[in-house]
Amino acid sequence: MAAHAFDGVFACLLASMLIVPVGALVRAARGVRAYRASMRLAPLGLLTALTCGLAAAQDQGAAEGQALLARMIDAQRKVEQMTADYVQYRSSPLTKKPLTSKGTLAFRRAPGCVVFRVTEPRASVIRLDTAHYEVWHPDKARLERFVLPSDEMPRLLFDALAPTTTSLEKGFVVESCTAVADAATRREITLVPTGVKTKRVAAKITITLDTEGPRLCAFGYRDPRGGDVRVELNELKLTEKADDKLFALDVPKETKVTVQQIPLPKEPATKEEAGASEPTKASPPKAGGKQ
Amino acid sequence: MQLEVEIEGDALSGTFIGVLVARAAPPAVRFQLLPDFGTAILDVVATPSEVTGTWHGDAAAQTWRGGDDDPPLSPLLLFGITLLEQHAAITRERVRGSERGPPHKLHLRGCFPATEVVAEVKGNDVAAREIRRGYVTWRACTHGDRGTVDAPGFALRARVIEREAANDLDAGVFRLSPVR
Repeated sequence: MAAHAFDGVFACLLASMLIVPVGALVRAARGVRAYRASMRLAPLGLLTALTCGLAAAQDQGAAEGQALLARMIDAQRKVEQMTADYVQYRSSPLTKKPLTSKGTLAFRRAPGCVVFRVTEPRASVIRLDTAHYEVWHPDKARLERFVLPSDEMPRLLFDALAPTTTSLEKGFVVESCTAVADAATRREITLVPTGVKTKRVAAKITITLDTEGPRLCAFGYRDPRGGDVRVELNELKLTEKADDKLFALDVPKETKVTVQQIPLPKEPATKEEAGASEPTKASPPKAGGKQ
Repeated sequence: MQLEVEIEGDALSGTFIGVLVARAAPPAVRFQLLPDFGTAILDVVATPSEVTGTWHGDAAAQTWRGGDDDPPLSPLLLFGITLLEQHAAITRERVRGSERGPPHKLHLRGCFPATEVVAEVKGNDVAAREIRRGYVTWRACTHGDRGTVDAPGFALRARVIEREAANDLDAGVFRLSPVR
């Protein structure tokens, strides 16, 4: 891969160097004015060289990312369950520092389910399967169950936690693979969804791997309006058999359960509307009643 | 400002993290509501000329400008108007009348068009606001770091978790980010 990158840079540098000799020939034939015009092309040639070099480096990064993911998929082929300590960082243009929460996480490959047991800043249990997003607040004796309009969001999360060759080939393009600062063996791989429905949920997802393994260190996504979520993992444990008890919410009888249907996201009618500058007659979504 | 927000409503119920930035002059607020996991499910920007927002990941923003062709009242507009009123100054031009109390009441022209406000004043603070727009009236109260909003089919309880002065706010924070 390194050789390919070099080939690209070399070819582009060669092209830029050729422009000057060609300019010299033109000077001999057509005079100083033509020479000056040809010299203006020299920076363009250098720019082309740099751009081609960058593109080649990006291709190389994407290839490294694909290779790393392929190795991780192969290493985790038999893994059915993943548990870890986690820290969630959420950025917002409204806050100077990210919103942080932490706890433990359990992921089951099939049937797909992830449970976050949040310890900070407030105790809660979040459970996500392909049809529901549930949040249990034990201190408030309250369970909020949201019925998802589609499985795009959970599938995206499951693909970030345990990608498969099929899910990657069908649903994503590897955009880049970059070294993580202060962590020589870590790489952050950025994947861009190819499906229209998935793009409504996330503009891109990131998977951070330790190349020794390779082992998942973090995952995250960026929503279409630029909001970022990053979840860092520690004490990662992989097992070949899932413990279903980890994925059940053992909610006391006195817990108040509310059920709501999340409506399908609306599409913008115009480009201006996407930027929130045009009025719309859309009525507010109506959610389901409470149980 | 970060808040813990509990909502009981026909359109939305649950416990969320709220993030708010507010500017007194010219008045502007932006508010995001985040679930325990993931990015904001509600994002609203309000100024005296426009309330605009999205929720549940809608790529389409809804916008109200106070005209006859506005969309119907929604929780987005309710959030926008309420927060705008809570952070805008009560200027002499806005006062239409007063009632001696207790509580002492000021009848105000709303910050947002076609909105009227009755503010209950305690000392130098407004303890409660009754906000009316069309046929809908709702009440927003503030008690120290806690606040409530009660509207037909919608009840909110909020508690401030963290507050910080933001003197170096980028004006862009009062615009919804475009869909990429």
